[in-house]
Formats: sequence, C-alpha cells, structure tokens
Amino acid sequence: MTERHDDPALLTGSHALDALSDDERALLEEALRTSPELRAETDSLRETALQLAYAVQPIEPPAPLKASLMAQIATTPQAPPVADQTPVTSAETTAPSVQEARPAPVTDVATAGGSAAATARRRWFQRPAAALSAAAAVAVVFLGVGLGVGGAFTPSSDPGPGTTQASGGLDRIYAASDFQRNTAKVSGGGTATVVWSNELRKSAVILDGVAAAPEGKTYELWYIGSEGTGGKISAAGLMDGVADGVHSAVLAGTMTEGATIGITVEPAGGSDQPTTTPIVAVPTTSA
Amino acid sequence: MLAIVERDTGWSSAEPAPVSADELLSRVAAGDQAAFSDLYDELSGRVLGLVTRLLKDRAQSEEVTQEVFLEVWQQATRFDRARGTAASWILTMAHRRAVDRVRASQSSHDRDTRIGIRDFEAGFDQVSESVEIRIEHERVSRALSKLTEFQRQAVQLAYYGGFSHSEMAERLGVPIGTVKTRLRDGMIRLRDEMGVTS
Repeated sequence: MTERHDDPALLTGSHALDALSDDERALLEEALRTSPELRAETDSLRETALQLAYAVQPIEPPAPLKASLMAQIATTPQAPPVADQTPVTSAETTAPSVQEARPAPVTDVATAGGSAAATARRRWFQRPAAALSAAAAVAVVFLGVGLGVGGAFTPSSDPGPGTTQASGGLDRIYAASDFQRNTAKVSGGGTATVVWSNELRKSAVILDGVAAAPEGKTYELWYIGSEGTGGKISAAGLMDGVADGVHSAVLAGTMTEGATIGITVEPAGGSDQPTTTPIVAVPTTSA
Repeated sequence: MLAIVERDTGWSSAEPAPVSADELLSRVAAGDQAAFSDLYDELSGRVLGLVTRLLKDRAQSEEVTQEVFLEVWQQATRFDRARGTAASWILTMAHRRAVDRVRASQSSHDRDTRIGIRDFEAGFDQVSESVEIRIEHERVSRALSKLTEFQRQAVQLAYYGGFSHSEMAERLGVPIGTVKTRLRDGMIRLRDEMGVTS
C-alpha cells in the first residue's frame, strides 16, 4: 500500500473512466476532500470522459421498453430532494452510481423556465411562416460536406467581441461543461441545430440539408434577446455558401442567456435588421 | 394569445418551442411523467448506444437502459444543474452501471482487449448518422489520434471495454502503476486536445 502507484493523485484518469475498484475509489475520494487541485482535475477529466460517450453511435430502444418504463414510474416514488449540498449526506439514500455522477445534490430544480421570457421568445422568431423559395446558385462554399468545424464567416454589422472564428470555436462550445443543443426544422427542408454554452456566451448553427439561398441572397444569422434583455435583435453574421450537405457557423457577437437564434434570407452582404420571415428560429431554452 | 401575436409579427406559430433536456429533467423532478416521456425519447438512444458499446449483449443492454431511466425518475429531484447538463448526468450514470454489469457478468477473459481506434470506428456509419453525432465522433476521433498508442489503448479499454486497471495490467502485461499513468496522461491529453474546461 505504500508503493508509488497507490498515490491517489494518479487515480484521476482511472476515476473518470470508471476503472477504479471500490477501494481505490475510496482512496481517491478521501484525497479529494482535502485537495481542490485534485478535485478540479477529477472534474475536468470526468467531463472529458463524457465526450467519449457523446461519440458513440446511438441505438433506438424498442418501443416495449418505454411502455414498461412508463408503467413502472407511474408507481415508483421519487427520492425526496436533499437540502444539504455536501456529498456526504446523499450517501444514505443514493445508489453508488448516482453519487459518482453527481456528488452534490441540490435544491432548485423546480425554478425552471421563466414563462414571460419564454412567451417573448415565442412571439418573435418562434417559427417561420413562409417556406424558402427554391434554391438557386450560390458562390462561396462555407464548409466541406461532412464534419464541419469552423470556417469562413462574415460578420455583417456590429461584430462584437470574439468574432474571429478559428476552427476551435465549435469545439469550444461542444466541450463546454454547460453545452446544450436544440434542433428545429427549417422551412423549405432540412434542419438547423443550435449548440450553445451560456458560460462561453457563444452559440453555433449547424445546417443539414438546407438548400442554397436564392441568387443574390444570403443567409443571415440573428440573436434575438429574451424579453428580460429587451428582446434586442442583433446581426450575428452571414452564412454564405450554404448548399445542401452540412454547414456550420459560430455566431458572431455574444449570446445572452435565453436568446433565440434565427436565420433569414437577406440580400447579399446582409442587412442590419431582418427584412424577411425567418426560415427557422431556435430558442436556447436552458432556463 | 398566440394568434394575436402572430398577427402582430407574422413570425410566430402555434407550435411549442423545443424543450431542452435540462428543462425536461426539472419537470421530471416535479413528478411530470409526460416530461419523463420526452426526456426518454431524447436520450434513450444515446444511453442504449453507450451501454451496448460496453455490454455487447442487446437484451442486457436494454435492461440496463431501463434501470438507468428508472433511476433518472427516482433521482431527478437531486439533480444539480450547476454541476453539468442533464445529458451528462444521465450518461455518466449509464456508463457506471454498464461497467458494474460488465464486471459482474463477464470475466475479463471473455472480453476482447483488442480495442483500438479501428474498433472505435467500426460500426460507425458516417452516412446514416445525424450531423451532430458525426461531428462529435469526428472530434473525439481526432483528439484520440493525438494520444500515444499506449495511452489510446488504455483509455479505450477502460471506457469502451469497461476494464478495471488491474484487469488491464494483467492483460497488457504491464505493472498496474503503468496503467494508471497511461490512463491519467491519456485523459489529460484528451482533455487538452478537446479544450474541455471545467
């Protein structure tokens, strides 16, 4: 037990990958109590391990599984919320796996989605009315088909901070600890997925199967602030060169929490404010 | 309300906004079974995918998936949004359960240690997968390629194979301390390559 490999500081990687035996986990957890550095490393490596989970091909479960689960929960009581935040208190009632996942149970899970803001979001940009008129030719290729990360990006007006879109922009959002996403159908066909991090105050749009903008037009991205922030509409850059396939762009400027991301068709070069009905609007409902 | 609004702007519709998994989990915590149903629809594919990755056996994997979601229902009241997303919470639970199951039900001799980058790519259909999954897969794939071969092998054996490091040490014929070091160095490298901040 005194050998070098029993140093708990060496166990952080194994911990993140669930490779520890119970004894080893206890050893590490004991060390975590007194070492903030070790705790930070452990947290960051657990987040990293999650990236490994996100990369696995999903498999849709058969329908009966859900049916039986729904029947089960109808008669299964839920655990009472734990008021105290220390990891220790949850030990009595929580299954080991839960503690692994979430050592500090907490309180305000119920203070969800402010409805005023939600209504505001819905009012503006909720969803497009008109379908996009059919595609025409388009010039610049924004990104190759396939795994788009970063790429050309032209902020139209008021670029704001952090508009330079290095290839790391999308990566950073995906890697954020508060990474979230929403997908919506685009009128005229295809989907728009918005990924965002409130912490980074950044978001990105991934278009899949969306037709090219008509000739002389371009797609423009917009941030629509939630009602709490005055519902301000800010230009967040152009997406030139969309032509079926997969295209992504990190929005220019700063995302405010609860903002909706919209896309309109605008004259080439973009507009200061939207002049057409959006082809899609995706709320970042994290509440 | 919506109708009036629509008249005002012409930009809205009666369709409800998509709801995030975090928001759904908050509702589940309040006992909302419909929200649970939506949350299940959103994440069950990822959970079953991950669990099947470890267990291989489909029936067992479905069983574990069911256990995970039952636990989600029971423990939703204790979910701490400040510490991560609903998806992270659920996938971490799923992985932990899958690992427990794989260790309980299969001896390490029955498991294939030849898990490598090819295995990671195997069965992954670039064409049929959704954009996001493809992007995420590509990111991980790229980051994994920056690890040394030993580090990569160790990380993949642990995460996708469910091996404990003592099992790995035995199978790979290296001291257990070496396995721990490879896992830690590999994960740190992976974290830095992927820009994970936490």
